[in-house]
Amino acid sequence: MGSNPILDKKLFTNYMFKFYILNRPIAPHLLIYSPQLSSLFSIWHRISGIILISLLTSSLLTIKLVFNLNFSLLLALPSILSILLKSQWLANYVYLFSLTIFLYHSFNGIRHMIWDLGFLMSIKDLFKSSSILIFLILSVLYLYLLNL
Amino acid sequence: MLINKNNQKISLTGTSTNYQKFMRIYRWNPSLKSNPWFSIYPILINSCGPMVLDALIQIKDYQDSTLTFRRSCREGICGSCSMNINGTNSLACLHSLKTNEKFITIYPLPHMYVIKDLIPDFSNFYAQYKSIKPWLVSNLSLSKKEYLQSKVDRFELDGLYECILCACCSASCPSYWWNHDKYLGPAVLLQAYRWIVDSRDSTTKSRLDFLNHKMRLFRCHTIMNCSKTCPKSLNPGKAISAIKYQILKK
Repeated sequence: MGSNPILDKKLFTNYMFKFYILNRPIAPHLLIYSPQLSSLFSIWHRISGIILISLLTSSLLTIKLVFNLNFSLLLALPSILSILLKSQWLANYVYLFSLTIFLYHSFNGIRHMIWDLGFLMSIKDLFKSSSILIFLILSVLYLYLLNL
Repeated sequence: MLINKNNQKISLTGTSTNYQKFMRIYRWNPSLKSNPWFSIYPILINSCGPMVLDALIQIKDYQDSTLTFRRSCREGICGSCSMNINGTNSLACLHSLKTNEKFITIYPLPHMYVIKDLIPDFSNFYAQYKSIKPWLVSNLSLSKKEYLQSKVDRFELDGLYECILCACCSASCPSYWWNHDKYLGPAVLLQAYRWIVDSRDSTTKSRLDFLNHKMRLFRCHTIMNCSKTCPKSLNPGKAISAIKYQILKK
């Protein structure tokens, strides 16, 4: 901030002190801000990442601990899921759901890498890239369902 | 509330267009020991100016003079009247009343401490702005000539110098909501980039070293809420991405 770090730290903490003393409310934020395209895509990137990690760890853990199997059996993943869930159609839905989540996270990750290089950062390009993302996910899912 | 002005708009189509709207405004008074509440005021569109600020001023003049808000230029250049209107941050003097919605909900800037009604406390914001040293540090000794800048170099500053420091972008960034004490926020980072990219400034390296910090710059996760809500159509997200690129290039 300035030349004297001790004085600056005192000034900074003075503002925080003022906030604790005066009992002022914080203006509402999360519940009142209308969901924007930008913030929705960002929070779903984080949520899809969490879902993918939890899916991966839970499936690996159940295979190793519950079934005591080797990982060479991972090649037959949908059949393992159907053994777990005891019905074929539910396993397909779970597989489809996790495939959607994985596709969303990967494509949005590519978009994040494009952003880090500095491209496609204006608002018009934001709308375009978001719609291309949704279109890509839906088209890959459509092709997958066609080939089933 | 029904005000007959000489310049009141007369509808020539004859259809009963619904001119009445309701303004729901967040209120809080520090002297009353109570929680914040909503006040609802009816306004007639055709007896009021076109912007939300005109409606607020009319409410203050004729209905409830305890309504408190900041305002100055009424044309979107001072940045005083920044508030959250119908869920997005904007300047009240630039946000039109002529929408199809019946209710217009007004909150102060999100996740800022409220002094009274719609007035947020900007002291943290201004301290963060001061911390980036928003002034020119040139290596010219006392000279009798102007410090010239080429047109190409001046073009680099377009889209950066127009910032009016209204804090709409910083108050829209969820990362700034959760880390407002350490993270500088998109408004301040846009101004930091304005000084980094100025060709006359000679302390670029120290500015970049100051920003190369886990909390000050890298709390930005490219959520891009800032560029979406800027009332002057600036792009803080792009500037922050450019700062990160310049730091990684060094």
